[in-house]
Amino acid sequence: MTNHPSIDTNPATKHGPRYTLVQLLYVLIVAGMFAGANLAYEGGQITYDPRIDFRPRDAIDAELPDTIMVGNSMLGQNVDAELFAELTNTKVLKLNFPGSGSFTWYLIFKNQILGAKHKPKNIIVLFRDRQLCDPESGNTLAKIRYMDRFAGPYEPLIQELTYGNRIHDGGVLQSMYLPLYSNRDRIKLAFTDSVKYIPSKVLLGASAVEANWAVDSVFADENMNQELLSQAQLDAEASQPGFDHRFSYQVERSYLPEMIRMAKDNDIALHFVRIKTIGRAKGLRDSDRITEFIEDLAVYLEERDVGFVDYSYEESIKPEHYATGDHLRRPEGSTLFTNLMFHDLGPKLKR
Amino acid sequence: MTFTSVTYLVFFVVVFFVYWVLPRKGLQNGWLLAASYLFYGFVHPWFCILLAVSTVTDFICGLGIARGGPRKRLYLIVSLVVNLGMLCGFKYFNFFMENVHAVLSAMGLSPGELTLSIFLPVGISFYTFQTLSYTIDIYRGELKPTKSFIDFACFVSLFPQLVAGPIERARHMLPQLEQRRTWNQDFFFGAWPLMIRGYLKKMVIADNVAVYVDKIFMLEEPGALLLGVGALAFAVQIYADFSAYTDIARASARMLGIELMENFKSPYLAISPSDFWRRWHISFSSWIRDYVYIPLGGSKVETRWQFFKVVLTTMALAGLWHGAAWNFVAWGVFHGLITFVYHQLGLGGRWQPSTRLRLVAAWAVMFTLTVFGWLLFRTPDMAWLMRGIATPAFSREELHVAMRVAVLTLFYISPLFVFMALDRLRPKFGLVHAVAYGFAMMAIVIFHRGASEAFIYFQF
Repeated sequence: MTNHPSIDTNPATKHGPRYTLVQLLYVLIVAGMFAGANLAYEGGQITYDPRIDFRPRDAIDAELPDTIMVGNSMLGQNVDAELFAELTNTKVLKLNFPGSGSFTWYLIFKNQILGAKHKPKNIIVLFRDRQLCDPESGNTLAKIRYMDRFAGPYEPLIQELTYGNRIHDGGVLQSMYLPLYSNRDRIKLAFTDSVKYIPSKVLLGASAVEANWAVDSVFADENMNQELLSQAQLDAEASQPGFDHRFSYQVERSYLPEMIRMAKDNDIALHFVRIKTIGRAKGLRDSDRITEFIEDLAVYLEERDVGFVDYSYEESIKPEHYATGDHLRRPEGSTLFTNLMFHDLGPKLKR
Repeated sequence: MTFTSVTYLVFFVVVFFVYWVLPRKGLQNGWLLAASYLFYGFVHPWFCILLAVSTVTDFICGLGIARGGPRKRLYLIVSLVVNLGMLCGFKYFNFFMENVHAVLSAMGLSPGELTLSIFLPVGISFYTFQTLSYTIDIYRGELKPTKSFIDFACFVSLFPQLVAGPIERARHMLPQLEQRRTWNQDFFFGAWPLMIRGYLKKMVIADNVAVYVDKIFMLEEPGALLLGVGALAFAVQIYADFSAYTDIARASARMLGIELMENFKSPYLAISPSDFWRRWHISFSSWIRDYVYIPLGGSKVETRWQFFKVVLTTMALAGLWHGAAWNFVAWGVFHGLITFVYHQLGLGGRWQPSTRLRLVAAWAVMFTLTVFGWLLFRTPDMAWLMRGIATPAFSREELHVAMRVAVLTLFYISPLFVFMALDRLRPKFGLVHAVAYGFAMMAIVIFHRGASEAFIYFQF
């Protein structure tokens, strides 16, 4: 029996200075290439398409709504605006942008609602989970699309919070000195776009639009196992790096304070509505961190006299009310949800 | 704390610099031990209690076994009961009770809720196996116990390999921990390429391929075409993900002057099941061989039936180790079955084809079987898989998806082919390698997904 067989794990350095220099040279080449690529890359100069798509603003001036609802596809599918208007006896305009997140809603606030001649009395924003305080929330492609559509030539807050992934101080430094990093979404898209359409074009003669449509239709929410989909969304949100679950820290890195300030300055009543996802309808629960985060959010909004209704655990919304993912079936689900909103928000709306 | 977080980067830099200024072995190991417990308990401090229980138990049992006498066997049993008890309690209790519930329900009884809300501590499957090998080796007379508790605790908890291996053996690790490590420039020069390769595999390949894999395995009714392409992409993902962890673990340990064992040797180039298990998760497969297969009589079987029983039991247990679900057992049994069939055809052990054509054919067959095995491994449930396999027809839209997934998977994996070619054609590190690693670093920065996925093997 041996104690421990001896193994050569710690060889003494027998190499001369030449070896060290050559090895260091290799390290420097790697570092130099990396630094050089960042210096050479001009994408670091952040530019926007200076034109703004003002159709939402024009719609506001044309329809003169008392209440404007802002959100993504969940708003589009889950709320029956006509019914809400009928129940509240007010004019309601729904501005929903599929795949959008908090930065798009901020841009809609700033450039469309406040840019219109007509000022609404109420704004209702629908969100899921903790999207409201996540400046990165929203579908990646939609993010780029909405950025170009709704951002003006000078958007310092967008630049600070979203554009360069600048949630943390480290992120700020990265975007200053590593333009490859802060522009990685665009560079990555350029690479993958140049590859992913090739087989569809060569073998099926299909355009990029047709190929995208095909992929979207196969992976449409309704083709997914809804329970797995909801669980995946919860997991992704619970573990997303870059999002700090300390509310007081994260809220200062979100658009929420600015949205509240803009509403107050313009004497607009602001209400936030957190929707219920199918996962919760099937019994999934928020993680402790998110529960605590939402509790802090509720206190924060109450202190600022901003309305907040959380339907995450609303018992009357059941799995059978859902069509796909977080989207309610129409008309049963949307009618139920709109009535709930009327019940909770109706009396609080400014007339 | 995961390797892909900024927290780990900061943690490692601090550990590294303090470690190398410490003048004595005892201080180095004490520092490593403290760092390892911080690493492990960073999110859930109570995990450390389990780790400590396993460590203290096996340290005492190791000394007790080495003393010999009538209590030698008792000490081994204590070690087995504590380690396997913890593993079974945290990992398999609910699985067992769910199955009891299903059986009782099928018999017309209503047993009520039998499961508990148990949170699986990450890495428990890895470190319990690591400590078990220590006491079993001492019992077998193949190893003397260490008398230093700090050295032993450091061996059990060493942070680079604690959570997802490699499952180290005491005879390999303890000698390294029992001597003072002195700084050697080779530690750094040998580690950084491995680290870049690890991050490339995880953040560029595994995480990006995972996007489509997750979608395909989340579909309610995928056809055979999507299942096939999903399985191929998953084969890439799981290899890139797991071998990335090993690469980063080995590189981190190497920076600290500690050499961890190799865990992968181009597993998808295997030409038979035996060959595959000599290349895939080597630290685990050799553990299973030494502590399950051989004790069950695998090295001395005389009949075909005996071999069948031993290999199937071993592989079913190997499958179950991966997770408390029947699909993992099915994956293990599948590998057991193909191992048995290959042996019966005279293609087991270290069989080598006689011609190049046969080599290619053997590789193609084994690769197909391996990919099919991953379907069993990844499937949400067996009925889902059967329905998919039984649906060979596909739509034009599904063809678009299949081609896109295939081409993007090839795109993401292409750097690995470059490194494979470099390893073969220019085994000595040189200028070309440096340039390749420069591009690899840029690829990591550009292609990493903001939200990096947890390593797949964390869940085991």
